[in-house]
Amino acid sequence: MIEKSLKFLIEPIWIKPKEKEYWTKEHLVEQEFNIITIKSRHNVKIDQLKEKFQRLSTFINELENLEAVHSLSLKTLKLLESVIEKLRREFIDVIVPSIYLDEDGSINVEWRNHIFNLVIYLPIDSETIHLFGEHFGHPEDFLDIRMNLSLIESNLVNWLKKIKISRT
Amino acid sequence: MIPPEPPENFKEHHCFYRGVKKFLWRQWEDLDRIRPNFFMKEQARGGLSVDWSKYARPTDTLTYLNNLSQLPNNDLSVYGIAKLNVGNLRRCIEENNFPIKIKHDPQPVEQPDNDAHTLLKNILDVNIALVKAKLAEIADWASGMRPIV
Repeated sequence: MIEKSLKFLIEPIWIKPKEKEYWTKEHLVEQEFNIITIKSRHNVKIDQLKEKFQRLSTFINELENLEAVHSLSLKTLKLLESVIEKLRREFIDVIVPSIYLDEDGSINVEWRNHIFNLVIYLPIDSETIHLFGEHFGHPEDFLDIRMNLSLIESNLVNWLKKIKISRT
Repeated sequence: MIPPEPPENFKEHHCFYRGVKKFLWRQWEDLDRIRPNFFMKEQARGGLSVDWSKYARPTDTLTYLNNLSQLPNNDLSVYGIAKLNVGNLRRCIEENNFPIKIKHDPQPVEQPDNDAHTLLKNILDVNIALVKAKLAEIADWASGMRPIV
């Protein structure tokens, strides 16, 4: 019964437990609780992210190159939404980043808490994205890359997964 | 106008001052710390302009910027003044292997000359996200120079 309701709840993010002994009633109840929590938190986060971009658009309207900046802003929002969604599928509950504009319309994304600091710079005049990340106390996780926007998502997701920001 | 001074004259306890415009700080959730957009790539192309504390107080930087915008000298409603400590900046450059060079660049501006003018050169020769994050980390508001919301 629990298994049946759980299937409904977790779709489409079902992750099969590795070991058979984990298939206990207690485990399933715990998983069900985690999934509901993550799903509702996720929805709140996506709403918060959208609100941040809504607020950003008031500043974009003060700039001259409106169209280009709006377009970059949309690309950034899509990228972040997708990253947060992919992390949710991995049961990783991530904070919502801050977004700041430069006066030329370039976008700075700052993802920062007591565990890590991640800054993404999306220039208005180039497709090359600059990405810097540090995992406090773990110099081996230092991230310093410049690459095309189309390639950045997987790197971002992998890095955030690697540092295990907060596994629920 | 005085001749440019050599880099060894920048002492550990000295500071560099830089104005942060309202368009930038107004986007921040709070003014407790400086955010990575406190300077822009475009402004740093020829070198990021700062004022050296040997020749300028933060109020001089503020007055200069306010005069350009025809604002009262001490007005903090548009510009706040950020400071970078020279010792911290040098350590930041060394630890991160930044190619940044500090160059005293006294300038004749309209009135009076700006003997404090200094450039942080080659700031864009590295990952801009990295340099923005690290400089924001060591930057702080100069005393009494936080903008007034």
